[in-house]
Amino acid sequence: MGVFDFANPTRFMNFSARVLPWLWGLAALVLAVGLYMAFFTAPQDYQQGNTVRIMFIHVPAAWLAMFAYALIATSSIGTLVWRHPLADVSARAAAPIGAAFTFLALVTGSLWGKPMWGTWWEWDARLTSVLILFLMYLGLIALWRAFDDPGRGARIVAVLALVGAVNLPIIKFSVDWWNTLHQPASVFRFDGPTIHPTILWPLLVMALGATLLFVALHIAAMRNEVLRRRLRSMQARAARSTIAARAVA
Amino acid sequence: MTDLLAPFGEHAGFIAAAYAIAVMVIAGLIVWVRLDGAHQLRQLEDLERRGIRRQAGSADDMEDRRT
Repeated sequence: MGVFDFANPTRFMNFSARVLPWLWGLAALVLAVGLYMAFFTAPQDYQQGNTVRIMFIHVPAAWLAMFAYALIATSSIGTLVWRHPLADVSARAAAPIGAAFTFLALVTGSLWGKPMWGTWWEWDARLTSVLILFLMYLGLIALWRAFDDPGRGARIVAVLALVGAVNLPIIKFSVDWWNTLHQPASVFRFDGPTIHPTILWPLLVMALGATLLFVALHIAAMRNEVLRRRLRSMQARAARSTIAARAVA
Repeated sequence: MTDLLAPFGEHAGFIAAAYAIAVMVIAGLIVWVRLDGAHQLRQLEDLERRGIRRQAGSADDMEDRRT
């Protein structure tokens, strides 16, 4: 059985039901180890002191904010090219989770910025482009909700989601293209990370834990969306049967 | 509480607030997916109790019969 065989709603439901409890457990375990490292093994930063500990939630939240949108964009290609129902289910399930992680990145960034930069907010390229990402998530969620039939709205939302994906490289390279208060990339660089390993490892463990949590949340939300669509089609069928019965009577 | 935050120095409040908000957002997401899932299952069971089943011949149904 190949990977694409799981792109069937029933197989996905069966497979995800088996995998999900393990994912929740693994995410909790890795996050617990990451939090221990963040508070008990990671030293203070020589410039930022203890506020560097905010980085252990801010950076994974920011990475996942972008990852979730990349997932929506990829799923949108599946909706537009193959019209696969699970692709739209995946995109729709990822949007509220992505919005929550983007909100978390913005708030924790603000809480880190106040003691370090002396301001809660600055209209610079990185902060503004992440705020736009948050607004795009809200826009996609609102547009999905505007259609009673998810099948009708899927292609329109997929086009909009793909157009919005242009914001992802802008967020990533905003710190290189414009003058900004935000520090440049310090982990994913061509010349290697610039963070000391005693701080880098807790960050990577927290990022892994947050990613596992995201995957568990996404799969659980996808299951809910599949159930919601089954429910909708059964309700429509029941309504049609009632109308037909009345017509015969 | 003040003693607990003391090791984190003068910016302890910012660190505590960031982690508290993270816990609230993540707990909110977990509660949302659990409640939404339970709600969908309850409604599906209710329909099945009333004798309404998934349409025979649908893609899912065909797959169910194959597996």
